[in-house]
Amino acid sequence: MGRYIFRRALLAVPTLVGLTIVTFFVSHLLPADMVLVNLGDQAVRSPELVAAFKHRWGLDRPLLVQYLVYAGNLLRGNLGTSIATHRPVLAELALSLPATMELATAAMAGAVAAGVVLGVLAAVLRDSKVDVFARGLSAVGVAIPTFWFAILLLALVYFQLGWAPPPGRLSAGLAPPEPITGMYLVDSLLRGQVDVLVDALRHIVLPAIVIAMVCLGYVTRITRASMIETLAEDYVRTASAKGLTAWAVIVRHALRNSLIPVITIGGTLYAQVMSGTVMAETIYSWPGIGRYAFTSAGSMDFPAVMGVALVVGAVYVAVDLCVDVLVVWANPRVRYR
Amino acid sequence: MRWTSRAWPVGVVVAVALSVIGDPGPRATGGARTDVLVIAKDISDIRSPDPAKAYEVSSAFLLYPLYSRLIRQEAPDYGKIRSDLAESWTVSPDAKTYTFTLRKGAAFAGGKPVTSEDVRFSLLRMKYSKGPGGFLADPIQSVEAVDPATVRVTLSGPDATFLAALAAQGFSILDSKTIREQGGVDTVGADTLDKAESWFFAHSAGSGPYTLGRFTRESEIVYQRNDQYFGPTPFFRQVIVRHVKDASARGLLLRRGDVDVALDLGVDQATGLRGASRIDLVEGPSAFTVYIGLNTGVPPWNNPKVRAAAKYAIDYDGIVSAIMRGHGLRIGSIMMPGMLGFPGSLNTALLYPHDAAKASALMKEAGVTRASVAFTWPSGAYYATLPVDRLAQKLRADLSLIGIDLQLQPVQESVFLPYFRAGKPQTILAYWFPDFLDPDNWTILVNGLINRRFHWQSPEALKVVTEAKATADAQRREALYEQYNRMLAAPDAPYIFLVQPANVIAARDDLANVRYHSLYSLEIDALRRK
Amino acid sequence: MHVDAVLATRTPAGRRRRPAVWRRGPAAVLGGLVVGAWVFAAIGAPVLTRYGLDEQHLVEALQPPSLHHPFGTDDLGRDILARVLYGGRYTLTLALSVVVVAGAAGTITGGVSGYLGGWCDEGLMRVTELVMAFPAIILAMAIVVALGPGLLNAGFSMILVWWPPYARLARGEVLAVKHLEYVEAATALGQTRWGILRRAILPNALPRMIVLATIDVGGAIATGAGLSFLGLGATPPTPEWGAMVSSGRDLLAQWWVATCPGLAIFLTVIAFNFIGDAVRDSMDPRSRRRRS
Repeated sequence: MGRYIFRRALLAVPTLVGLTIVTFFVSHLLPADMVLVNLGDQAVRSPELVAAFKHRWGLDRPLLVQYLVYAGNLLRGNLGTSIATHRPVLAELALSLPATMELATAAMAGAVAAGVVLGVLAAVLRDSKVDVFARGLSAVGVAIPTFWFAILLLALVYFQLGWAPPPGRLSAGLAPPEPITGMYLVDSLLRGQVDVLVDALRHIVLPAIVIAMVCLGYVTRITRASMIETLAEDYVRTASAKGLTAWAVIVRHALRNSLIPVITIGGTLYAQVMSGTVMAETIYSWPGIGRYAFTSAGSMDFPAVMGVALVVGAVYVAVDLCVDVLVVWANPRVRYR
Repeated sequence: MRWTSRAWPVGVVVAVALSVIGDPGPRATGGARTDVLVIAKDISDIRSPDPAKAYEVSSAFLLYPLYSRLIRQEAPDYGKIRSDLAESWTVSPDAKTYTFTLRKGAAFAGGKPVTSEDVRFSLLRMKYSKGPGGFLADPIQSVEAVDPATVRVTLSGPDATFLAALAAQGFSILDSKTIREQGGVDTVGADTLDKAESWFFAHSAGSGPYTLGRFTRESEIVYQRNDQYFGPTPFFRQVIVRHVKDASARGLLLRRGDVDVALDLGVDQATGLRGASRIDLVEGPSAFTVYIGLNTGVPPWNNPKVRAAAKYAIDYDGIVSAIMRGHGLRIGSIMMPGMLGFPGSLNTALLYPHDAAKASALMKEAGVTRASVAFTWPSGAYYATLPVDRLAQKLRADLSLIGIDLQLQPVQESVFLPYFRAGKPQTILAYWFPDFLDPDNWTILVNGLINRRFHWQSPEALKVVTEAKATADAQRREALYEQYNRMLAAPDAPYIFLVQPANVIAARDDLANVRYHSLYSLEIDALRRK
Repeated sequence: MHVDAVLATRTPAGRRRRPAVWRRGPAAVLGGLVVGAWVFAAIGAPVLTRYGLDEQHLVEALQPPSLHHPFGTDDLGRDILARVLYGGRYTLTLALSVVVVAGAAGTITGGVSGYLGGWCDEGLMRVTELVMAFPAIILAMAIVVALGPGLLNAGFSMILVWWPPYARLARGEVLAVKHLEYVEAATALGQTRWGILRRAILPNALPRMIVLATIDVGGAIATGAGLSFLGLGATPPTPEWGAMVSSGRDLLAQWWVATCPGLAIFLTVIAFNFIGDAVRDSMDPRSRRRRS
């Protein structure tokens, strides 16, 4: 097991290195106009200013040298300085990454909890109204366009019904808790600020539901399918023939094994969510990494773009690794390749 | 059938969605927020809160309550220049030397008195930082702190407009000692040596009615009242600006009572909020003047007859009535009607009629039957209440009728200005928003700043505005600027002037003194609850 | 993004657990009908509606749904039903092109890689993992900023990130049959490697690739619409559904402007999902319902 983890982790390294190369070259796809974006009229009038800007950001050296400098900085934990705000990219990411992680985790937690329950019920009570509802909800969840759903929820739940607070992470004027992790829910809990915790919870509900919808669809589906297969297995029939209650059969015997695909799906979904929250974040004024990626790329802030791509990519690789390890741990009979 | 029952979650969603959008009215907030003001605004265009580097419409809004400047101009009477930090001033007869006497008792938040050294530092730092607005400080040759309460500014040439220019956000007066400690530099080379910019993201060093409590980019601005402000103490102890990207969402927040003021509203919100309970709409002309710029270096705009034809081909009234729904008026030149040198009568006289026949005839004369050219604007943008996407599509329809096919190519908002500045677009839906309120700021269409991007020059117009800049005689200036406007409206000029959209501010009806300011959007310090 | 495709590749090789069958029949038929309807509508739009896709009647702007305009009109007085019908062309063409091109490229890449094995195979798997890890939105933005907006460039950026799941799946399929007897027999008989790949291996892998592609179309539609929604895809006046929803963002009181194209996306995606489910069930004998 340990050897497997080690081997798997080792395999992740070339991917990460490749990631740095790809992010570097993709963000340098953003053409020389990046100089113009950040200098404005002055640039067009003064070649010295352009030269000075290029020199400041190291743009006047050959691409390979630039990459090596970048890689060297990375190893020291320096992700560069954002051209737009002149602050370290790491600092900006330290603000936006936790926001997205908080949202993604909350959404996934809700989706998995609801999805598993629904999936199990649907599998156990095949072809009942519950089953039909679950399958319907799953189909809807998978198919509904995120951005449309986000707008719909905002108009209905916030505006028409008034059940949700306005878009944002916290109510206006409420100071966020002193950062430990950067996630308001965690930090306010750790610091004992119950009012902030409640406020943050209220604000996270709507964007989390938007993101959870898709996840719910898949989790329900997979749980149901997996549960059905497991319930048909011989050992389950044995257990129920032995006289165990349905509850015991389901929870103690069937559930654990049927959850393996769910873990797999969960991990993949989480990684996908982390990189795809732009819609929800824009519409709900959530200052997360999706939105940060969008605005940085739009303003050709290439250090920021590289930082985001790297971080998101690294998270993906890490989640991938964890899922692989988890699956192998949960069912040693399974081996990849 | 099974599939109908599978579809009923869909039905529920759709049915709820299709329920009529009524007016649920504001949430009961329980009278919580009397001394705290909450504003909903789109602040995503702020690139830097450092006055020396700030140049956006929203950064002027951000900086206004934090800093004082030497002079001020209050809505709506922008012609009058009032004292702010400068109690009085004298101008030399040749309009090259300005001497300011600073107000006694003015202090920065924190207590340190404002001295001439701070003024000198701020003006020179602005000049040498070479930010996007740095060109405003080009006329400055030297700044001298004669004594702690007197500043002398010497210009490199006669300039009668310099006084008004000092209201620009770039000329905010900073606490030199604090900024120096943060690495601020006020000498040549500041553009590379100055290290203070990042400090401004979390702090302010001004003598304005508010201090910066918190600034989170694209999220929030929190102002705290400066109780040592030398002017009238503002009513609100704390002002919070929430960033909300969508105009309709801003309207929703206001309706629900979650904010007190909604800025940056579009025509749809202006119409939709009319008559909403407990909400007042304050409408007035914005400082945006919208025009189409034609790059004379590319066909078909290199043909002056085609340029003229386009001016007759546009359904201006349709734009005002249907796209803007009456929230704005037509303009015949770049200036705001009513300004010195552009009376309403002149504006009306310079308007082009919508004459499709004449347009076609001109195209024939030009020898052009079909032409295809790219058309650029910032995607999803609003110029005050004007929805630019909508206008662009209407213009395409209009010009297609005379054979000009506009290829619509909107660009991301954040790169629109740079592309524009580089002279890249072939046809552009642009606007001018003033840096300061003197007609000279509108001469950018001939003085090289903007016209260069269209590869167009008008030496006669340039002569006119150069003279107007140097003269202090108001009557002479008026005549000269009128001439300038006439020249801009000539058929072969590469500008098609469209509209001055209205600006609409929506506020809860318990607020008083809600006024639009042409430079700073809203005078926050003047607001109070009734 | 296209979670379905990604998920399909995450099941461990060797002992595949097939999800049990959904009710076949009505759902698949319905799915097929809906998709068929959209295709018919997209092609036959000029006949089905007398309004053009950019026919502006400003005086009739923002009318609610009525007899004249079943889906209402938008902010420029254009008939929304007409735009939705024409929009189907762009949306469907984009999605299908992306899936076909990326699917083909991915399949060939993965298949060859699996067959050749060794370092080539390892390297390629690292590359696919890399591409999957890279945030697609950044790539799309970079391309749009560099090459300009437009559906073509959006499609291009989508293809660049869309192919890895196909490569992985194809590779898995090839690996599963590579060592089976009939392949070894073919080698022994002197068939060229390409010959074997083409005639023996790929035809076995193809059904699952087709299943994947069918399920994936829904994801491609949603992603394409999403890109247009963000301003990275279709330029005005193209009536791409995602772009239409975006223009309705500021018109929440005129709910039909955003709701109708949104519903179109929703219904089309769900229809493709139904079809995909049915295709999978019919093509994979192992997924037939087991008798308890």
